[in-house]
Amino acid sequence: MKIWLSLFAVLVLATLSYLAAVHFSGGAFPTLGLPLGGDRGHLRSVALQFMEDIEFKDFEQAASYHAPEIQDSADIPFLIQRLFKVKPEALNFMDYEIVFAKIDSSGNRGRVKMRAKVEFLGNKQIRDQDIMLFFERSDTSSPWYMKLEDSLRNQTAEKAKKS
Amino acid sequence: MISRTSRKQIGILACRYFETLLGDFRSIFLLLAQAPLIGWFCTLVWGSIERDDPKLHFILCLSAVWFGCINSCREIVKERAILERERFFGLSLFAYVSSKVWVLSGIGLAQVILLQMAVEWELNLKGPMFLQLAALFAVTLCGIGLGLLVSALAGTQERAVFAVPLLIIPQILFSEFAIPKKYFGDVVTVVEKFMPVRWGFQVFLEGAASEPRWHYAALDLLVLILYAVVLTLAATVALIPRREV
Repeated sequence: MKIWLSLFAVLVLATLSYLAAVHFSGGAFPTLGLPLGGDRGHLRSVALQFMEDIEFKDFEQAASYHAPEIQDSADIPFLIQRLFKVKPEALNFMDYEIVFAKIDSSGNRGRVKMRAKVEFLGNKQIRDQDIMLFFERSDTSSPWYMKLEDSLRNQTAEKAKKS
Repeated sequence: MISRTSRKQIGILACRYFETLLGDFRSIFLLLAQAPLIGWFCTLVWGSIERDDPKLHFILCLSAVWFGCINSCREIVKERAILERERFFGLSLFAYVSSKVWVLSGIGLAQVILLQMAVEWELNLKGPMFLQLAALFAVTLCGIGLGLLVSALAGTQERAVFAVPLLIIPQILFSEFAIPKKYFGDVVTVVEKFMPVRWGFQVFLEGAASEPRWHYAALDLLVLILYAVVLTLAATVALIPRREV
């Protein structure tokens, strides 16, 4: 009986330790469906949802993670093509995972590094591609918005800063 | 396959050994604490480049074999007198060594879990986590086998501890970590195959590959487990000659 009680206590302690580790690491380990990890955990889950939308070519849903004022103008297929140099139809996202999620000292800017295994359907090549997703919010009580559109759009040099 | 008496002896000896270890709680704590500490050091280094690479995988495997060796290298030699006395009363050497393996593998498992969690806390390792954990655990089992063999052969605890670097350094020297594989000489090629770290590292490489060959990873794991069994049996055989203590 004493052994079983000890075993039970160890199991409870191990489970609680694991859940604490999941939360304080910002969702670095499987969360078992629990809303753990705080802001970093939230960014991880948004990034994974975004990649799932891309995987299934649901570009409208993928654009919905951007700020409301640019959601309509966010051209996700064009941005994908800019990133991978091929049309989205020629890409097969086989797998993706998060490398890390970080939030800056202000608590209002975040970035998530992802690793995607992508098959280029044209030449049947499989390549690992690192992707960095940037997030922003106006203050700690506001929702997070993705900045993919901002970071991948065609950049033009500002006239005043031209060298 | 294992007689009832041996099974009973394994249970009793494992309980006794575990209680002895629990009596020295500080040592257990230090053993367990070194794993997340090494993991944290790794994240400090590889955090600078914000990604993992094969060198990190190699260091993790090397740490795992280190844990196994250092945990077990004194465990037989320190109680050799008790062992020799109990042999007069029918103690099975196989049961004795098995009881050590059982308890030490529990500690080793806790260490590799803590090591991997400490690294993944900051940096996700490329490849399936559970495969990597299995590889690290299998490498630790080999480390335990090596440590117990040294412990069975050594005359004193100090000599056993001094022998550990002789087990660890070759893991680095006879590996791709030292020089690229294409420059390996004939001897190095053969010796490399006897290094547990090599097989664990192969599992990591397969898991992280763009197109993993899972059957190769499974084969590498099998080699590690067989290697651990052979080393444990060798430690048992090394205890057969009686020693006056």
